[in-house]
Amino acid sequence: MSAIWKTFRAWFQRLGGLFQKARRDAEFAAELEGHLQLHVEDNLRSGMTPEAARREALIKLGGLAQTKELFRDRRGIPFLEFFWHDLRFAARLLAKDRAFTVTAVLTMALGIGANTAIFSVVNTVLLKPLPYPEPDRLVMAWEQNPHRGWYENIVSTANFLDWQKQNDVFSGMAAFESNNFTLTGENRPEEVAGERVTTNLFSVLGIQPFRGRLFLTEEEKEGNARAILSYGLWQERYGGDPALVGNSITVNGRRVTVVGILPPGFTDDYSASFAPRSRLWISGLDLRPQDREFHVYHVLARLRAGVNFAHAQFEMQAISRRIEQQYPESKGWGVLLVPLHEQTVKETRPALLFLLCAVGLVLCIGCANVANLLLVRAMKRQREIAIRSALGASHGQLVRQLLIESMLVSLLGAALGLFLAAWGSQILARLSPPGTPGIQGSGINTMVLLFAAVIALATGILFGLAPAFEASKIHLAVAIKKSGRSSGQGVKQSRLGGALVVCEFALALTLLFGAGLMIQTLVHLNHVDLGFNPENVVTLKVPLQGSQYEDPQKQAQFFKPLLARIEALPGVEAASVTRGIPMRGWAGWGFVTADNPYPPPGEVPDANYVVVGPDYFKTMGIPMHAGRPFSEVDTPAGEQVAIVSESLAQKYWPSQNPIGKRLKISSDANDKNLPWVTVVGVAGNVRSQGQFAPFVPEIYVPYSQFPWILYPRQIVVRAESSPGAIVEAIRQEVLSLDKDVPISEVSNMQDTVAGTIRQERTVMYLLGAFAGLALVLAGIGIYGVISYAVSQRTHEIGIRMALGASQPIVTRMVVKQGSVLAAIGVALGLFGSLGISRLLASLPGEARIPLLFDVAPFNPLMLASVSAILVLVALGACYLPARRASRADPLTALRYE
Amino acid sequence: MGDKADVWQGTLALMILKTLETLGPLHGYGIARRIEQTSGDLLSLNYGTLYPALLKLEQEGSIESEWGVSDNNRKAKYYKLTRSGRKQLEREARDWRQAQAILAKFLSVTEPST
Repeated sequence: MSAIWKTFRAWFQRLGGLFQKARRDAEFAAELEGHLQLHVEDNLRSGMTPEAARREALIKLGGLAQTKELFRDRRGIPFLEFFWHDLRFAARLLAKDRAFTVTAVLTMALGIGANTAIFSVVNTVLLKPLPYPEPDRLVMAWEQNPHRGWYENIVSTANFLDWQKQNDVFSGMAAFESNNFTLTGENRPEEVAGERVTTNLFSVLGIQPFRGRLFLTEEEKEGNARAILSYGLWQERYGGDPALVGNSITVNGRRVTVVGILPPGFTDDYSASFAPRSRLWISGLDLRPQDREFHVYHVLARLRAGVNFAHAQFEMQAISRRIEQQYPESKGWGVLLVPLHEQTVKETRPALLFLLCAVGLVLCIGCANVANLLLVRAMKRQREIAIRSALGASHGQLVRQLLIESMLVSLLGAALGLFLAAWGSQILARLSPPGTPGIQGSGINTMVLLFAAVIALATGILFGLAPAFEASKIHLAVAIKKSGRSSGQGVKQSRLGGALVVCEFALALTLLFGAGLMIQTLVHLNHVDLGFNPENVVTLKVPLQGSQYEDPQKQAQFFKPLLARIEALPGVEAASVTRGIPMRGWAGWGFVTADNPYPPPGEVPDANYVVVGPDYFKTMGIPMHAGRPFSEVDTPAGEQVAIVSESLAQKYWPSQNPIGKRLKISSDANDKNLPWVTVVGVAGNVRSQGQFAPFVPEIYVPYSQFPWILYPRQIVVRAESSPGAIVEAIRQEVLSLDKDVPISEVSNMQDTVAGTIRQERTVMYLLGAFAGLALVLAGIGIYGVISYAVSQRTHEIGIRMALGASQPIVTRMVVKQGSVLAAIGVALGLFGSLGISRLLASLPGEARIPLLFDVAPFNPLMLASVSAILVLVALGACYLPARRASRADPLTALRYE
Repeated sequence: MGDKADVWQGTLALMILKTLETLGPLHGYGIARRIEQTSGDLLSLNYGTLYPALLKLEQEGSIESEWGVSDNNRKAKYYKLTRSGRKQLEREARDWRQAQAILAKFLSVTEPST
C-alpha cells in the first residue's frame, strides 16, 4: 500500500518537475556548487594544490554535466519531455511546409468531419437509451396476421383486454389511440395532436408529472375523462398558468378537467419513441371486450422484473393461440412483441449503418492520400533524416518523430473536422425525415468528441506508420552522399505509393457502386406509377367538431356548398373531400361480396375504405376504367353505391364485369346496420401505402351516403397551376362558412409524395456526396503519385527524348504507368462491389427495400459504368503530369538533379 | 541501466536512509563521504549518482530537504529523514537482513561428501 502510494507520489512530483525548469536547474547547480566547494576544501586540507583539488572533486562526482543530466532525468518525465520536444519540432516543420500541411489537414478534416457527423447521428438515434426508467423493459405489443402479410397491426379492444388479464409477464400494459382534438373556448380554435389513453400509460412508461398528478384508475370510466397536457401546450396555449391544473378546458366541445402537466422535453422523447407530436392525453377509454375484429389501439407494456423478452414472447403467443382457438373471427391473428428501442430505431438503422460504412471508406481513401503525401515528403527529407540518424537518433526515435508529425496532422484535421461535423449534423437533421427519432438531439457531445479523438489517433497511426518505417530505413552513407535524385528509393516509393493508389481506386469503386445502386433506387422510386397525379393538388384538413356537427348529415351539408364555392374560385379545376389522402396511411376494413357472402372465418376480404366527395377522382387525377364517378344523384335516398379499384375487381370478379356487383362493407353479410352497395365504377389502382408497397384493393363510397365515417376530413383541390396561391382563398371560403374551424395540415400532394421517400433521398444525397469525395480524393491520389514519379524520372525522360522519343510517346508512357495502377485498383474494387452486392442481397427484405427498390443487388451494367468513370478520372489525372513531362526541354531535363 | 542499476539504486537508497538516521540532517557531500567511509574501499561511488537517488527519495516523501549552512560556513542543502522514511528504513533493513540470513544459511550448507 505505502509502496504504491510512494510511487504515485513520486510520479506526481515528477509531473510537477516538468515546470519551472530554470528555477530547479539553478537550485541544483547551487547544490552541486556547494558540494564541490565542500569537497575541494577537504582536498585542500589533505594537501592538494587548488587545481588538483577541484579536478579530483569533479572526477569523483562523475562530471558536472553528466550529474545534471542524471538529475534532470529523475526530476521530470523524460518521455513526456521528448514528446513535447518532438511535437514542437513537428509543428515547426508543418508550419514551414504549408502546401503539404493545408492539403493533408483539409483531407483529414473532410474525412474525420464526415465520419463524426454521421457518427453523431448514429450515436443519438441508434445508441442513446430511451429516456424512461429501465427502458430495456418497455415493449410494444402488436397483433399480426402473417397469412395476409400484416405485421405490427394495431390491436383490437377485446384482444387487448384478454392479453392484459391473462398475462403474468408484464407489470403493466397500456393502450392508446392517436387522435386529433379541437380545443376551443379560451383562445382561438386549435387542433392539436393527442391520444386517448388508458389511465396507466404514464405509469407504464415510468413518467412523473411536472405539475399535478397522473390519471387515477377511476378516470378510466367514460364519464370521468380527464386531461393531461404537454409542457409545450400548457405554455403556448395557456401561458403556463399554474391554475390550469384542476380547471377545465374545452376539448371537442366538451369540458374536461386538467389533472396534470408533463415535464418539459417529454413530448420530444415520446414523439421520438412512437407517437409523433402528441401534446394532449385524454383518459376515459372505458374499454369493453365487445370488438375483436376492429383493430384500434397501440399497446405498450413493461416487462415484469425478472422476466426476459423471450419468455414474454412465449407466454403471449400461448395466450394469443388460445384466443385464436376460442374465437373463430380471430383466425390467423397472433401477437408480436417488439422492444421499444428496436421499434424506434429499426427504420433508420440500415440506412445509417450503410452511411457509416460509406463514410468510413471515404476516410480510408483520405488516409491513403495523406500517406502518399507523407511518403513523398519523407523522400524529400532523406538527407535531413540521414543526418539526424548520423547524429545518433535511433530508428525508433526517427519513427516516433515521423509518427508524431502524422498524428499532429490528423489531430489538426480532427479539430477542424469537428467544426464541419457540428455544421454537418445540423444539415443532416434538416435533411432527415421529420419523424426520425432523436435526430434533433444530435450534435457534438462527449461520445462524439471521444469518437473523433479515437479516429484521429487511429488514422494518424494508420497513414503515418508505413511512410515512417519506409523513411527511417535509410542507408546512411548513400543518403548523405546523394544530392536528391534517388533512383532506388524512388522506385520503392512508387511501389508503396502505387499500392496506396490501388487501394484508393478499389475503395472508390466500391463506394461509387453503392451510390450508383442507391441513385438507381431513387430513380425507380420517382418513376413509380402512383395511380394519381400529385401535381398542383393542395390538401388541407378541415376538422368539424362541436354540437352543431353531431348529426353526420350536417357535416355533409357543410361540405356540399363549400366544395361548390371552392370550385367556383378562379384557378381551381376541381375540389373534393376525402377521408384519407393516399400515402398518408390507410384503413383496412373487411367486406363481403354478394357472390361469396359467407367466407370462412379468417378469410374475410378487406380493402382500404375511402369515403370521398363526387369530384374526388377528377381532383386526384385517378382514371376511371369503367362505369361512372360519383355524382349528385348519389343521395342518401338513392341507390347505395361504391366504386372499387381495378385490383379489387380483378381479385374478386376475375373476367367478369364488376359493374352492378354488390358488396357489403362488413365481415357479416347479415349485418342489418350496413347496406349492400352496388358497384357503379372501377377506378385505377393507387399506391395508398407509399411507393414501396404494392397496390391494395380499395373501396370508395360517396360521403353523401356515408357521412358518419368521414373522419378525418381532408379537402383536396386541384389547381390549374401552382396551388400555393389559392390556399388563402380556400381558407377564406372555409372560414366564411364557420369561423371556428381550425384548418390544419395545409400541404400539397407533391410534398406528401416526396416526404415518403425523404429518407431514401437523404441517404442518396449523402452517398452521392461521399462517392464524389472519394472520386476526387482518388484522382488527387493518383495525380500525386504520378507527378512524383515523373519528377523522379525527369532525367530518364530527358535521355529518352534526347534519343528521339516524341512527345506522344512520352505522354503515353506516363499515362500507361498511371492507368496500370488504376486498372489494378478497379479490378480489386470489383471484388469489393461484389461483397456489397452479397451483403445487400443477404439483408431481409424489410431492410433492403428502402435501399434497393426494384434494383438487383448484382448489377454488371452499374459496375461497368462506375469502372469507366474511375478509369476516366485516372486518365485525366495522369494526363496532366504526362503532358508536363513531355513538354520538358530535353536539355533541362538531362541536367535536372 | 537495467536490472543491476535497480538493485544498486535500492541499496543506495537504504544506505542513504541509514546514514541520515545515524547522523541526522546532512548534505549530499556528507552523505557520500559517510557511505564511502563506512564501506571502506569496497565501494567506489560516483558522488553524482547520489543526487538522483536523493531526489527519488524526496519525491517519494521518505526524506525532505532545506537549505542550511555547513560547519565551515558553506551554503548547502540538508536532507533529513521523514516519519515515512524512518518506517521505510525499518522495513527495508529488516527485509535485507532476512534476505541476507537466508542466503547465508543457503551458502553455508557444506557440499555433500562424495
